[in-house]
Amino acid sequence: MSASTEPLTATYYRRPAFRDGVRATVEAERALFAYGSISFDAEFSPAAGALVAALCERLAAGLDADAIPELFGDFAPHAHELLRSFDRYGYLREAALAVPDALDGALFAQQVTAFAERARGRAGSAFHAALVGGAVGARELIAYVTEYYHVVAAAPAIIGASLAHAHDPRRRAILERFLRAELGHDRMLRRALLAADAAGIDDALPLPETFALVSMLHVLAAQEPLGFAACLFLFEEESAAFHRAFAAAARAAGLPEGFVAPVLEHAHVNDAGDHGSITTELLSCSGPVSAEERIVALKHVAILVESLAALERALLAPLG
Amino acid sequence: MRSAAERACVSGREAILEIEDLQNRLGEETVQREPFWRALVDDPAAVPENVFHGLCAENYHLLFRESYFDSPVLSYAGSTAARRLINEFYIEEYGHDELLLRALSSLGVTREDLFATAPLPETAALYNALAYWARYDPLFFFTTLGPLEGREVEIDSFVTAARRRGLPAAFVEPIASHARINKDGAHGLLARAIFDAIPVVAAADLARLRRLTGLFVRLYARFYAGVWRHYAAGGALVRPVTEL
Repeated sequence: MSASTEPLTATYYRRPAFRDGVRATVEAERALFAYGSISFDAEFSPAAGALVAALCERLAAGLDADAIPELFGDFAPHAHELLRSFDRYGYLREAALAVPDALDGALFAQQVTAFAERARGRAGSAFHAALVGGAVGARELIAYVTEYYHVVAAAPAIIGASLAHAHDPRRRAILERFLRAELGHDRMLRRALLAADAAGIDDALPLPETFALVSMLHVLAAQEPLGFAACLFLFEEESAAFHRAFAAAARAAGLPEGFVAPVLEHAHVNDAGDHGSITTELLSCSGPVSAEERIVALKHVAILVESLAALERALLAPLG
Repeated sequence: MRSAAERACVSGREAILEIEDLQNRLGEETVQREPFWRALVDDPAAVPENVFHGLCAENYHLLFRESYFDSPVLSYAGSTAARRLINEFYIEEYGHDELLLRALSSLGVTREDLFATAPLPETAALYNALAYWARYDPLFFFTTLGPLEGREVEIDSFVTAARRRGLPAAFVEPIASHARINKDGAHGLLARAIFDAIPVVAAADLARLRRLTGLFVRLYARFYAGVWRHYAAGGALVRPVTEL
């Protein structure tokens, strides 16, 4: 027995108990223990027989680990030795299990939605405000569609990566539907950009603010399913009011219909896809989540909202 | 009264103790029935020396790729405490392939020989499965650490049998010292420690862990079956891919 593992085993169980099916036959100087096909025996002095029997009796219902010294006195080290053997052969269960502090996935979905709305309300939309205020010209409108293009073009790879984490059919079906709905949207926005003579889109790099969003979603899709689900509202379409203001600003700036129409078409396609509920749908089938998982996911939502606000500011910033 | 959410989940401790029980029961039906283990336990003198060398080589191939199957869980986001434990474990575990390399060097096998050699398909199947689970199902990956790192009984039997067989200390001792490090570092208890740091396991996740345990145990048994298949028949330790 290793000196360093013994205390760990002894202190692991708060209230060790025999698993159902463990058989203990204690005789005067010998005991036989069996569970499934694994059995072992132990020999001891006649004086210890009653203590071994008492230990086994208590293990039938569960034995408070803290009470072992008091209950077994000098025999306590031997009791621990036996417990270690029982554990080594897989005979024990924990009879003092903590009740998990968990929140149902659907309730967490409500929490995320309310949190995201509050966060977005606080952050505001500088771009939407500028659109309505007539402060957005052709350069900013083209920049908006260009950056949006980078996000939309990355969407299939992002959603595709998340599929590998979808272990249940419901979740997989939601993500597959979402992926199908997003396929080809980059081509619509590409058409808009070509109509506005925004050549070189294929070689253009996204703004750092855009890449911050895209890389975040890639990473969440690849390794944090809960955070990913919580952040999918990014793909939700802007409001109808936003698109009316967008179309009006584009026409006022003299941009062609070929620029405006694909953007509106894309918005319409997204509305039909009812993306608004995807976060709720996905979180609802995630099962109960722990307090720590909830905080981690909400932090991603907060970062996403702040990153979006940073992107909007970058779109409106004068060319540097 | 427990809420609906609480009823739809268990604590990490409850989950891992249930999975351990399943691993033990399925292990008895599979891993421990493999001719390799039967021979090693029942009649170690009859186990060909090449099998001892082969298991060491395949274990080397596995540990050489430790980063394949540990790296994705180093960023596990579900629990900070669990993430710290797995990172500490990785720091301890890193470079353990070198211990086995020392054992294999005593047979005249070099690092370059092993690099040029493709592991057995059964070995590759095991590390690829682990790497897949680490990346896409970290919760399940954590359950496999018990059998993989807590192989006290198995490695003890291997070392005992190798010594009884009279294999040279230069080969046996590095393997024994690797086993000792794992034991002293309580690596066998790592899965329990990690699950104690995961307060909530959803019932649906636990059901998946149960199902996948059957697959993992079979892949693990196949690893030993592969060693027996190839090395008991006198298969070479070094099989450079360039010569295939």
